[in-house]
Formats: sequence, structure tokens, C-alpha cells
Amino acid sequence: MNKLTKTVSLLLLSMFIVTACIKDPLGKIKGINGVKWQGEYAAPLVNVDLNLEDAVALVNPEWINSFPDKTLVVHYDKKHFSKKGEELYALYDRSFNGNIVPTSSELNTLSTSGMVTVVRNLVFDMAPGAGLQFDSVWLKEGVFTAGLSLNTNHQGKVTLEFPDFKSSGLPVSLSENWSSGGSISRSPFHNVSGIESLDLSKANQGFNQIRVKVSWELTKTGTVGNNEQLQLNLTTQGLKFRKLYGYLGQPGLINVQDSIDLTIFSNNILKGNIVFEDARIKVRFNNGNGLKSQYQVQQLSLVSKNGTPVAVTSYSTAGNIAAAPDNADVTPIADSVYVTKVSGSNVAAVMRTEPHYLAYRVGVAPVAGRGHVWDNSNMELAVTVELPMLVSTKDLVLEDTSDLDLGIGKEGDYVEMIKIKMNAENGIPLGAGVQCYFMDATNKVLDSLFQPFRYIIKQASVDAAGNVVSASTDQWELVVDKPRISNILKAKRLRIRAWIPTSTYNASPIPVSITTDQKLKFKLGADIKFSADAKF
Amino acid sequence: MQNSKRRLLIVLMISATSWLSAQQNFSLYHMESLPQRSTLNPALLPDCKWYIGFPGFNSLGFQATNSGFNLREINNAIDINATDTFLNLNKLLNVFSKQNYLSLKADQTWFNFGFRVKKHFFSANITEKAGIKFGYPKDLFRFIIDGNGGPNLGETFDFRFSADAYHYREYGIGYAYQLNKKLTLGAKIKYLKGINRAELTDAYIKVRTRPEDYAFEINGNYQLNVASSLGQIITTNGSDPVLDGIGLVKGIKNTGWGLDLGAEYAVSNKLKLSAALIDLGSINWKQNATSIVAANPNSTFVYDGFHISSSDTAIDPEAYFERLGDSLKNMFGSDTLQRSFRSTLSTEMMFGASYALRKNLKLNALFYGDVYNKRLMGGLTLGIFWRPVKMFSLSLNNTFYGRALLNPGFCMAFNAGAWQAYFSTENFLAPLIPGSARGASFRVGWNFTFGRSKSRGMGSGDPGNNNGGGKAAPIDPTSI
Repeated sequence: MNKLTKTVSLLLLSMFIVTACIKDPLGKIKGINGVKWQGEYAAPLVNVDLNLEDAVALVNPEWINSFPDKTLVVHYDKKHFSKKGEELYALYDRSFNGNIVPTSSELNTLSTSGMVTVVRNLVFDMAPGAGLQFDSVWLKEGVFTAGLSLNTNHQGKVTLEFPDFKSSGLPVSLSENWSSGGSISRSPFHNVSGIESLDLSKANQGFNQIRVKVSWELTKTGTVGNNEQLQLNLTTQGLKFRKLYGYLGQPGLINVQDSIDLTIFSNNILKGNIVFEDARIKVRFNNGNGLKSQYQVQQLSLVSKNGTPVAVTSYSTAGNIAAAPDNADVTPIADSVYVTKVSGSNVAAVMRTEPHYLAYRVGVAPVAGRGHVWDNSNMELAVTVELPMLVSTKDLVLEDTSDLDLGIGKEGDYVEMIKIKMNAENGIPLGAGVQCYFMDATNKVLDSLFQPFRYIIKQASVDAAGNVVSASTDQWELVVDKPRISNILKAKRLRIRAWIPTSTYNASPIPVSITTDQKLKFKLGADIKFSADAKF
Repeated sequence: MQNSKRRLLIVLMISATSWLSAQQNFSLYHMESLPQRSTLNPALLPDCKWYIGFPGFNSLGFQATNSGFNLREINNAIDINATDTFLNLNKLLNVFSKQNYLSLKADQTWFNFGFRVKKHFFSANITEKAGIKFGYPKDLFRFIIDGNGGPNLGETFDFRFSADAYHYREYGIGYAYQLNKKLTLGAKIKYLKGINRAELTDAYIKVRTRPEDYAFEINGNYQLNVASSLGQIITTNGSDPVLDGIGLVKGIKNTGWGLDLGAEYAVSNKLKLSAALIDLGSINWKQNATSIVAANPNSTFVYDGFHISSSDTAIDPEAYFERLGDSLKNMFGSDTLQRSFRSTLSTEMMFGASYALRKNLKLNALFYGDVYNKRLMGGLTLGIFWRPVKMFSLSLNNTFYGRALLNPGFCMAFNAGAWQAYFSTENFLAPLIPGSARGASFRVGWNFTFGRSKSRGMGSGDPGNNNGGGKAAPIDPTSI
């Protein structure tokens, strides 16, 4: 064996020994049948910087709006509507018959001149119903049909003209002609298209009637005799109006007896009270009809929890409601009955007793006279309880309980810890504390959210008049560890309890004004720790 | 579609070319019989009077490295109990360095030759070099696996990425001068012709989660430079690139200069010290050169939760998301510039020592380093050089770098008359123990050498001194 062979052999032997001493690193890797992992992730959730006007717009609750002076208002409304014009009044299908026979003079003219035109002016009665006098109508649909039955020996033509019935500003007319005598039947018709006007006041009666001019042209083509006759049957079908003028009677528009729940008092208050310093009731009428009307407020009572009514005092029990103007479209006009302590009413004082509902009875009818309605116009009655947020609370605690299904399955086992962090700056003289109680199906409390309890937002500082002088700042962390997460995931029911204190001045509760320009800022972030020992 | 085609082309170009950094195979450094050692130190001369490489196959090198991890390190992230074997993702993070790199590179010398005139040695070469290197941060995986919460609140995660790809041709002329019996000085000047270049520089996204409100503070920057003699790869009008293969050989306007400097000093008959600084220089890329740069470099974006604000988007989430999108677009938006750019060569330094135990047996050491992404990356190779017979020489060594302590390599050279063949490899255990490998490389070639010493112990630069030569060859330090 020469040196080269020895060298190569030595090299190969060395390599063999080295590689033999090294464990196969893939051995352990091949045996992997699961993954262990622990990670903690933080993220900002929301950054809120809202004045109450935008906050209200964002949540858009039906029961909050604001006054022009920016005061927020809790309100409870109920609305009632009268029938619409087209439900109150109808243009019934009508039929009118006329018989036209040429006079001997007209026949003589035909015989001598070879042609004659027989003209008759007729009146068609719409007969809308007892006591109703229609002056004019804006028609939006329907058909006028002229049934013509003729006995004639001659070529001729019949034309019907409606001088008071105009389509696109021109009188409507119907005509038919024929080339030789015989027994002839024709039915020319007119379909109402768009809005067409029909003046019913031009005939002698002054209402409800349509004038028709019938012209029968005869051209001699046969024997002139006494058998010439035109029978006219004029009918209306399916006429509907867009607008109707006249004496429209005095139908009862609204006659309602109802109540409004004041849920802020009747629901959810566990204890304590809330005082609205300037409660009001508004009865508003929106008249879309062109008929002057009259209202009667026959009852307005605030009813306590045990059903005892207290009559609201000092308000107008009857009055007129102006007619809507005669515009191209419905333009309602509003009239209101506003009941406040300023007008001497007891409403604010009674509201301090935290009544559970408002009971009312109201009627509305047109006064006698001529006017107009649209097909879709009506009378609206809106009864509103307004609770402007010049408010104070004392030990107010609200509570609600509901079923709970977090919809988290076994994935919840991977959550080790949840931390919520909040930084708040509150310019509203209203604070908030929330506690969530997680319960099993038998309402046994398994866990609660804040341990110990704390307010999540502190109220702003106010002056002696209840106006905000400085915002409060606060920051807190809520940590929910694994055992508590487990309890929460087991929960079937949730009880939420909310504490809502208003600001105090010199440690005494005073009414505070909550306005749309007050601001709330807060940032909310979450840090969640996951842990998994998952097998493949 | 056009953008995706362009991106694909860039990726293909990056994949098809090679990284600018260290092109050499360090096993060669002490292989006294090989002319190719002068590519690492122009003062290190072969033991022949003149040589010529086999045209097209005198030096073909390939290297693949991964600095991130090897399979053996994954074992440390495995938890075993009585019944189960778990991969612990959090422990798995330990396999990564702060910055990690993947690189592939290749070089091919078309032509080289050299000859000695008394104390002067002249050489020349034409070499094609190409490669790709991709850098990725450990923080990316830390962010995903450990998360940004808990103990990591307030920490800045630095997602810093880099990518270099290039292809250039080197025309080199070398000169070495034996100043006296102890000192030899050498230099090589290189004329460079750039063919393709894509570099992603200063590209990062930094994310910090504020402890006080968990808001994300994000800032970032990037710059992508692309140039090619083949055609316009990134067009400003959105049209498809038109490339022409003729640009590989003709009309190459991306030029530059490089310089290698080296010295060898014989402290005694047994001990030699050497030092070299190679790949000084740069290439000016001006042919179809385009830069995509961040429109607002280093601008900061803060996301502090979904905004519900009276001032802007009180009740309009769509408007908020649009604004958020605009902010991000503003932050990560880009400007495309038609402009030339300069890329420097990845300069490497080497310090070698060789001690002769016997005439044909030497102990060698080599320290080397280069700078990539503002980080000095270095390593140490220790080995022996043995020439048992004149026709065969062997270098056996091990390289230490980073957390990888076992990286054995060797280089063998065979001579039969003028014909010379050699083969070297780093981390030759990689095919046998792939789990331990972070990379592997090889180099192979044929030369014709003339006027070699008749003694098997003759050293370089000293044809009359038969003291032998050769040292272990470390793996490319840039793969560390």
C-alpha cells in the first residue's frame, strides 16, 4: 500500500467515524405529532372621539334627539294617521244616455243642401255622493267611453267635445265617421294619460257636472226620411284623482284613544331614581289636506305604576288646524299643542313621580267649507313626551338579564388571558359603571367581569349651574385570566347591571345639562394571550 | 398583468444570477500548486513558471448556503414527553439569527493564464460571476409566533429584508513582485462589465406596539435598483419589457473597476504570514437602470384603532378605511426613477498563516471577513496541507463560523505532467448528514502548468525553496 492509498483510506475512515458519531437529526423530527405554542398579541380596537351629536347619529336611537339649544332629549312618540284623500273620496263609474233626432228643418237642409250638422249640448252628472260638491278634479287615470248607435241613410260623422275636460291644455274630443247609411254602432273612448283637468263647475248647477257638445254631420247619400237617430251612451270607468276641489264634507279624520309607555321609568330600573327637570308633552297635527280642520284633546293623563292617572293641566283642549296650501304637491302644515311647565302645566312636576305611561284621547275633523285634498294627503297626529336631559340621578342602577351564547367552542381553550385597556376622557356630566354577571342556566353566578367593580367612565366636573367645566380622565385595565375565561365560556345567561351617576357639585347632586357638543374620547385596546398544545 | 410579469422577470433574473459578495472558494488559499489561489490573494503564486487554464473549464464553482438554521438545530425545539413529541414553535425561534441569509452563487472562468519573468509574475483571466442572496429577519417569525403583546409591548420589531442578485463579467490582469526573499506583493486590476443587477436595499418595516394604548407605530423604507444590458426590465409606461440576449455579449455599458491587493511575508523558513484585500471597487449601472424608491422614506404611520371621530368619519366607516388606505399608500407608495446607480463589490479581507511541520506537511490558519448589510461576517479555518507525492496534494480543514462548529472541507489536486486537475468542497459532510448542513460548495477545474518544481516540498513564489505549501479552505464567509 503506497502513501497515497494510505492517505485516502485514512481520510475515508475519518469521515466514517465522524458521521457515525453524529445522530440522525431527522429522527426526532420524524416523531413530531403535535405543536406547542404560546403567543401574546396586542392590538388597538377603537379610537373614539365623538361629540354627543355624532354619537347619537352613530347609534341612531329612535328615542333621542336634540333641541336647537343643543340639549339632548329623550322622547317617546306615537303617531296616528287619518285616511288618505283617495280613501275618503271616490269618483264612481257613471253612465249617461242621450237620444238625438234631427229636426225636420235639419232634414230639409240635408235634402236641399246635401249636408247638415246636427249640434246638441248635453250635461253629464258625476253624482259623487250625498252632500259632496266637486268643483274640479285633476284626473290621473280612468276611461271615458262614448257608445254610439245610429240609424241613418247617409254618410256622416259624430264628434263629442268636452270643453271643460282638458288634456295638455286642450279640450278632449271623440269622433267617429262612416261612409254609407245603415245601422251603425261605434265606441270611441279616451284614456286619461298623465294629469288631466276636469272642471265640473261650468254647467248650470255649478258643480258635479260635465258639459258635452255633440256634433252629428250628415252628408246625403240616400233617401232623406224620418228614421235618422243617434243614441249616445257616455260612461266613465276607473276614474281616479290626483287632486280634488270642492265642498268635501266633514268626515271624522282622527278619533283616537291610546297611550305611550315611558319605558325609562317602567323598565330596568333596579333602584335609585332619575329626575328630568323640564318634561314636556307635545300634541302635533300635520295637516296635508287643503281642508281647515279642528282638533279636540279630550284626555291627557300621566298614569303611575299602580294605574292612578293624574290629569295634565293647562293646555288648549280644542283649536283649529290650518289647511295645507294649494301647491302642486302635498305640503303639510303643522299645528301643535305644547304642554310645558312654562305654560303653567303640572307636567314636569308629575313626571318627577316617574309615571309609567301617558294616556290620551284626541279627535280631528274638517270644519265646514270648500277645500281640496290630494289622493295621498292626510292628517297626522303625533303625541310626544319630551324629556330634555337637564337631569340628575340618585343611586340609579339599571339592570337587564338575557340569555348568553358566546358561540365559542373548543377554540376558547386556547385563550390563556385577555387584557382590555382603556384610556378615557369624558366631557359629559354623566358617568357609567357596568358589571356583567355570567350565570348558568339556573341563574347561579359563575363569574363577573370587573373584580373588583369599578366605573368605566367617570363623569365630567360641573359648576353650580350644572354646566361642564372640565373633562375627567381615566385609564384602566381589565384582566381576565384562564379560570375566569373558562367560567365565562360556560355561562348561559348574562345579567348586566349599569350604574349611571350624574356629576355632583360640592358633593351634592344637581341637575346637569347634557348637550350635543359635549365630547367623549376613549381608546380601547386588547392584549390576548394564546397557548396551544395541539396534536396532529 | 404587466406588473406581475415584470415582477416575475425580476425574480427569474434574481434566481438566474448570483450574489455580488465573496465569489471565491477559500480552500484554495493555501493550495500552493493551484494558480487559482491568486484569486484570493494576488501575492500568492503557483509553484510553476507558467500556466494556462483549460478554456471554459479551469475554474467552475458553485455554492449554496443558508445561515438561518439546520435540521439539527430544530431538534432543540422539540419537546418529548412519555407519549408525544411536540414541536415547540417558541423554541424554534432560537434557530434564527437576528438577520438570516440564503445565498446561491456560481462563477465560471472562461480563460486564464500566467507566467513568471524572474521576480515578476503576470496573469490574466476572464470570469463570469453570478449569484443571489436573500436576507430575512428573525423578527418576522418572532412577531408571528411570540406576538407583539405582553413582554414585547414597546419593543420595535425590525422587519428588514435584503436581496441582491447580479451577473457580471470580470476581465482581470494580475501582477506580483517578489521584493526580496521574505516579501512578495501582488495586485490585480479588474475591468468589470455588468450584465444584470437587482438589489433591494435599505428595505425594512419597523413595527412598535405602544404599551399605553396598544397602537401600532409603523415606519419603513425600501429601494429597488434594477439594471440590465438585456433591455428595460422595469418600464415606466407599463409596457412589457423587451429583452435581447445579444446584451450578454455586446453593447454592455455597465462598467466598473475592481482591485485585489495582497502580500505574503516569510517570517522564517517555516512560518509565512499573508494578507489580502480583494474585490475593492464598484460597477456603475447605467444601462436600462431603474430605481423604485419609497415616495416617503422613513415616514411613520400610526394605527391606534378604528377611528370613530366627529372630526372626520363620525358615521362613515367607508371614508375612514379610504383614509387609512390613503395613509398606507402614502407611506408605502413608490416613485420610479430612470437613473443610474452604483453597486460596490463585496470587499473581503483575509489573513493567513502557514507553519511548516515538515517539508510536505503544513499547519494553516485563515481568518476572513466581509461586510454585508453593515454587519461584519467572519470565520476561522484551521487545517493541514499535505503533499505526500509530487503528483498529489491535499488540504483538509474545518471552518468555525457563527454557531456552526463542524464544517469540514478539503481540496485535492492531481498533477500528471503539465496536466493538473483539482476539486475542492466545503462542508463535505453535507450529503452524508444533511440535517447538520447549512450549506455546501464545490469547485472543480483543469489547468496546464509548466516549469513546476521537481521537489514535492517547494513553496510558492520561491521556486528554489522546497518547503511545501497549502492550507485548509474555509467555506465562503458570506454564508455565515
